[in-house]
Amino acid sequence: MNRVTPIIQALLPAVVIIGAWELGAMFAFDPRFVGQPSQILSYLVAELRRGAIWADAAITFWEIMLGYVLGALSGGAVGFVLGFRPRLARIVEPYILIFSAIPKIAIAPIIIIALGIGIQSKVAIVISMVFFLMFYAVYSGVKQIEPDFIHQARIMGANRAEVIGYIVIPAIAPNIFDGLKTSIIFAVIGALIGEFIAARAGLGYYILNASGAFNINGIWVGVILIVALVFVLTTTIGIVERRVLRWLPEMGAGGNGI
Amino acid sequence: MQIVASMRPGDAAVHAPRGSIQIENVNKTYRENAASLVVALEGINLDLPANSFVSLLGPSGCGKSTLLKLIAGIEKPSSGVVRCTEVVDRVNTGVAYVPQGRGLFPWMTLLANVEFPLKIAGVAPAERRRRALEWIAKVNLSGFEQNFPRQLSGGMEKRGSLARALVTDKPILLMDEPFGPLDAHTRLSLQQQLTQLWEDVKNTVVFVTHDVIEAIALSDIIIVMSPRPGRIADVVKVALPRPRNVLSVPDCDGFVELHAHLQRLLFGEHAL
Repeated sequence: MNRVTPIIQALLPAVVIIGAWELGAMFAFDPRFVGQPSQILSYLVAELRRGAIWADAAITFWEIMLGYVLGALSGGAVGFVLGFRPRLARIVEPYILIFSAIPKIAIAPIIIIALGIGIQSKVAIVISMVFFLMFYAVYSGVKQIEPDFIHQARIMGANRAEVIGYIVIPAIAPNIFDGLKTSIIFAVIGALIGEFIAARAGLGYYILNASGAFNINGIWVGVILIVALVFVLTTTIGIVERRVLRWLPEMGAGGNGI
Repeated sequence: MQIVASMRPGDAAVHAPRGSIQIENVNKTYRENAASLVVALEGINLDLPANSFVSLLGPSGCGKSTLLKLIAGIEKPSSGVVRCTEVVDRVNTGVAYVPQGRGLFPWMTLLANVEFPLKIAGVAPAERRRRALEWIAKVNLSGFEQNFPRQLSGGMEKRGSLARALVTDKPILLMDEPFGPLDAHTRLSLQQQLTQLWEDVKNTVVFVTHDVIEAIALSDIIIVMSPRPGRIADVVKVALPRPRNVLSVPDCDGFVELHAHLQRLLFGEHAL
């Protein structure tokens, strides 16, 4: 019973909300404008059976993953280097601030004109969003490292690579995971922006088509798949995080979920 | 043969015994901002004999932690020379260092922490496991090997820190107010454990503290420092017998005079 109770607790709000929506669509408002859970569900099943939507989901998935990984690696690397090079950072930081302040939605058309309407332009937009988040996460992490930790390791005879591997990376791991978690949702938004502006495939393209055809169920199916994608990515990172950061006080029993 | 004749001044200490520390004409200034310099240490000369327990005693701002960092080589003197057998001109890997605050790396278990300096030194896994476990036992932390520092109390973490510092058999141990933030009971207990461990190991210890009784209880030599600029006010020998019990040190002959003398140095004739 004790194992089942939390599951019921977790699902109860969803049941209430979806139930209210379903009833509302039956009696209170017109489901043609907001959709109806039962219809959305049957449309989802039909679309998944038909199969074409899997290709759209796969394309969006790869846009997100490529952009996410490349953006995280490059942003993290730049943040890492600048964290240890305060003089260089003083020169470069204002430029990074300016570039990060540019609304990516505003320059997305330029990126698409430059890179075409294929996957490259979407990956580039995702990178432009993830890069800055990871940059600031890692940069501030490196700047906050307790100097005593590095001193101790060096007194013990650790060389540069050992200091980085045994001290710096573990010390900033919480910042890295924070950056990775916030980046996911922005990576998804980046890919969708790109697909909304110009694309021939992808879940954003699918949603755009559905809305053009006044297909409310289609829009919701696209949204559901995107949410599922975010959920899988976030959960995966959460599991890795709890494993890697089990030394952190807040990772003990009752620690933060996703 | 007549090497001494060709020596420059100060080189006499080149063949000083392992574990001794010479500090010659050391000054240390910090640039606080564009306009002002802070003199942290001025005209420091010390010759600390090997295998003695030395305390640096003084109020905050007297540069005692800075002096420790110069010996550790993590800061450089503005002028003058620090020598631990050889001139210290980079990070000094000939010392072990117990810093202020929480000492252990929070992302490693106690065992991994104590093994870490041996791992860096290239000691084989089985051997470093054996030595780490031996030292964990000596500081009474057996059974906590797999705990992370967050799962240890402040006093336990300090003992782990001490084990990690002693596991490598370095000739010099530097400790920067290691027992500062602990409660009185834990403090006394750690002072006693440190005394017993040290009377066994007998390496050179430089111990920074602002606590007069702690300095007397632990030390052979007390370097009293005065602040702004940091200078040496006096070098006091503590002739209390060993092995010592830190709890009964105040009852020893000579303690009262020594205590009064140190208080006068720290607070002036008319203070208190």
